[in-house]
Amino acid sequence: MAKNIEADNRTDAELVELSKSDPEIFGFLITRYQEKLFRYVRRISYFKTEDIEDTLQEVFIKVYKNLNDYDESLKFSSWIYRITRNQTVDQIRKNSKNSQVLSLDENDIGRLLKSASCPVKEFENRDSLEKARQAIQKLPEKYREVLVLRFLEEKDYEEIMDILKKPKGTIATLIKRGREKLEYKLAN
Amino acid sequence: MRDLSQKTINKIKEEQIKPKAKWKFLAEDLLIWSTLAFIVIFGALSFSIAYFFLTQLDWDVISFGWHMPFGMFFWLMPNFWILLLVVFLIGAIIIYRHTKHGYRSGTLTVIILALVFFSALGFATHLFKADRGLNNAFSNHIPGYVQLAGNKEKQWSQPNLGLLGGKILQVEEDGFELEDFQGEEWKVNVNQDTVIKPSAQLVPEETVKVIGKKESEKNFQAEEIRPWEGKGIMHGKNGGNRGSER
Repeated sequence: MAKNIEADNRTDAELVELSKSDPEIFGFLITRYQEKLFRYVRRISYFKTEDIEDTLQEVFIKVYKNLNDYDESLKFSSWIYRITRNQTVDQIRKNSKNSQVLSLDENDIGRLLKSASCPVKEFENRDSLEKARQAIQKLPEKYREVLVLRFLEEKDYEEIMDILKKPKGTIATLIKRGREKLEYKLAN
Repeated sequence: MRDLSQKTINKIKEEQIKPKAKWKFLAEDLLIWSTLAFIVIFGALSFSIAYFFLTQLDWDVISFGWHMPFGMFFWLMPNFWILLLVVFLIGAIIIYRHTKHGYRSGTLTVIILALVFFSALGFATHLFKADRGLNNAFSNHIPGYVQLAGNKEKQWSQPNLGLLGGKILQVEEDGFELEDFQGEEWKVNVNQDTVIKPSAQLVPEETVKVIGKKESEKNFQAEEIRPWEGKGIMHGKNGGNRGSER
């Protein structure tokens, strides 16, 4: 417990350093990120809970193996999101034959609609909500993933750049076009 | 969701998973940066030799007899080295993208940066005349190199357009025998109107450039004779000796 309190006061970078010699300390980083990453994987994949947990365990093992590659010039959260995103994308490609329905909840859909400047009230009944869900699902992956990171994960452009490994200008363009495309799909 | 921390830590312990050693990541970085450095060096050399080829052309006769100077311009470009330069440029972009922060710069920025490095190092190489040395080495040791890359030879292998170059085989009273770059022998006539540039040596084994007119098969009337290197104006801006003053 004392160790736990100590861990709460430590930064991610400090925990990374300590984890290199003690895997138990790595557990604090897992605890700190598992729920955020669970939500993130759910938002960008079609996985069931157990599949997300398996994916995340793979992610944490990968992060642990690569602790010495962590570059402190970027946020640890950007680094772990990047690894999570890549692992999830790999997993999606492997399971591409499975049915693909995004698991976005009503709250997520509402936030994405707001990003596309759409009046949320129009999408309050079940049919409209389903229409909105399909519009989001039909967005090309490159737009959907930036919109999820920007408006659901609330990452800034710099972080999205580090997660997706794309220049900031490209990220800004993808977000702008993604919003326009979503707006268009909702209107038609 | 279930708590994954203990499950993951147990797996790490059971399978004795260890973080990959830092030196391995450093070695990977070093490999990427070294590859990039090699690409930049080779790109700079390509730039330098391409530039050297351009300086070797006689620009005052670039459109001789051609109705489309642009066509001539592209035909005489050091295309082999420009192609290599493009290959190294693409290589530099790809390798730079693999560096830790390479994704942060846009493609245009990377292209501009690579060209700045290629040209800066290329001009430095040109100043030290390393491009000339390399080109000579390639010409002497790589069969077919001159035919592939030699744009100066190309420029002076157009007798129909009045441009003929080659090695003097034998000097005669009214001119000389010349072997062109395709190995064909020509009789080059020199008369009193022919301008012979001061540094052009009309002696056997000397390579020269001749501006004039093809009179018949393998017979060429010289109007101006230049040394192979430069325009031969070291001793005078436009003039030279007349044929009769030799």
